[in-house]
Amino acid sequence: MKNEALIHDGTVSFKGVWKDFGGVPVLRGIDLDIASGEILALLGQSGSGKTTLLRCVNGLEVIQKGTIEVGGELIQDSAKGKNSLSSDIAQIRQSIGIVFQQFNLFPHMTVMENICVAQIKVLGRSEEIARDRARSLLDRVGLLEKAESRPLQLSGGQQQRVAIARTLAMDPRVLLLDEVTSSLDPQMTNDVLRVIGDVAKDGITLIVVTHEMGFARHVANRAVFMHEGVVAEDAPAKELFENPQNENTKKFLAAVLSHQ
Amino acid sequence: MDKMTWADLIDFLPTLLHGLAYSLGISAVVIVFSIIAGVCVAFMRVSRYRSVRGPVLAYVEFIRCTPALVQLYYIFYVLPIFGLTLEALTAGIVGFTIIYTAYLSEVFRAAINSVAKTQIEAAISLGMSNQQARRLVIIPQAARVALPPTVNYLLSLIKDTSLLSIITIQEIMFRGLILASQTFKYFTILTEVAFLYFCVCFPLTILARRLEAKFERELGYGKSNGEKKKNFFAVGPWGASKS
Repeated sequence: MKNEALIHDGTVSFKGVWKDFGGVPVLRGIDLDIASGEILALLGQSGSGKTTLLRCVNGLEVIQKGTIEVGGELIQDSAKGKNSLSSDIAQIRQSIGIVFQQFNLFPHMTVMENICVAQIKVLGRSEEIARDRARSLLDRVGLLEKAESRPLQLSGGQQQRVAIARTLAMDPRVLLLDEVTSSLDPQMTNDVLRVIGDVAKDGITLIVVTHEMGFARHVANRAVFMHEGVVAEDAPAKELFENPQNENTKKFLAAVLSHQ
Repeated sequence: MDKMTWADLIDFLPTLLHGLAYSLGISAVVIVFSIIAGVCVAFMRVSRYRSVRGPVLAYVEFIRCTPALVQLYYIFYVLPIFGLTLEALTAGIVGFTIIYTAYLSEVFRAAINSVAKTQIEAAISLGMSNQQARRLVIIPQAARVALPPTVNYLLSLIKDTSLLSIITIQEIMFRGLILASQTFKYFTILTEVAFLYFCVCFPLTILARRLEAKFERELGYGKSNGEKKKNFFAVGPWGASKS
C-alpha cells in the first residue's frame, strides 16, 4: 500500500467546537464523543448546525475553537491558529468517508472509474484489485450492470448508490452521510436507505444527518438533537423518539412526525 | 477589374498554398505554446496569492486592450531600438504566443472556475491531495469545457496570422499581395486567398460546435453538477441544502 491508514478505529470526539460563518455562530461549543461502530443520527431544523458539524469531521469546514479527533488522531485543533487542520489531513481523510446530498460523482469518469480512481491513486491498489473491489461493491448496491455508464446517465438514486460504493471502496472507519436522500424521490430514497441499512451492519461508525425520521429511528442506536448550534438532547435513538426530554426536541418531533 | 480564369487560379495556387502552409505551421506552433503557457497563467490567475494574481492580470488586460497589430509592430520595430532584434519569424511566433496566451488563459480560467467546488470537495474527501484533485478531477473537466472555445481561438489565430504579412513573413496574405502587385489581378488573387482561408476555417467551426454538444451531453453543463432536474424532489421544509 502506498499510504498506511493513520486511523485504526472509528471513534469521533468533539471538544468545545465553535464555528461561525462571517461572524454568525453556527456551532456554539459542541462536546460529543462517538464510540467506534456507533450509528448516530444527527437531527435538527435547518440552520441548527448539523451539516456543518458533519463537515467539520473531515475538515471540509475549519473550526475556530476546540478540537476534533477521529480514531485518536487530531483532525482539527484551534490552538494551531488560523489553519486548524492537521497536516496529515489528506491521509486521514482516506479513512473518513462522506456521501453528499448532491452525490458529487465525477461526471467525466465512468461509474467504474469513479469507484477505482482513489483506490488506485490514493491507496495505491493495483487496478485489478480496485476493479474487483468496485465490482463487489456495485453488486452490493445493485448496480453491477451500470459499471461502464456515465454518472449522468443514471437516476439520482442510482448515482447516490454509486457514491456510497465509491466511499466504501476506501474502507472508511467513519462514514458521514449528509442528507443523502434529500434530493431523491420516495422510491429512490427507499433504495438508498436499504443500502445504508445494510452498510450499518459493517461496524463502521456512521454519522447520519437525515430528515428520514423512520429511518433514523430504525437504524440509529443513538440520536443527537441539535438546536441553534448546541447539542440540545443526546440519547439512545429509541428513547429520544419515544420520550424526548428537551422542549425543542418535542416540538421538532411533533412537527416532523405529524408531517410524515 | 481583372477577369477570373481557371488558368490564373491554378497558376497562383502553388504559391498561395505554400503561403498557407506557412500560416498553418505558425498557427500550430503558436497554439501549442499558448495552450501550455495559458494553462499556467490561468492557474496563476486563480491563485490565492495576490502577488501572483496581480501581475498576471495586468499582462492579460494589457494584451486584451491593445490591438494585435500594434503589438506585432512593437515587437518587430520597437524592441530593436532597445537592442532586442528578433528575426521576423521568431518575432511573429513570440508575438502571437504572447497574445494568444493571454486570450486562452481567460478561457482556461473560466473553465477551471466552472468546475463545481463540490467536485473538489468530493476529491479531497477521498483522500486526494490538492495536486491530485487538480490533475484527476479539475483539469479533465475544465479541458472539456475549454476545448470548443480553444478551437474557436485557433480559428481566429489562423486568420490573424495574415497580420504577419506586415512584418515580411511569407505567409499566404504576404504572397498574395506580392502576386497581386506584380500582376494587378487583385480580384482573382484575393478571392482565392479568402477561399483558401475559408476551406481551412469552416471545418474548424463545425468541429467546435460538435465538441461543444458532445461535452455538454457528457458533463451535463447547464444543469447543476451531478443533479438531473427530473430527479429533483423537494423534501418538506427541511430540504434546504446547507452543504
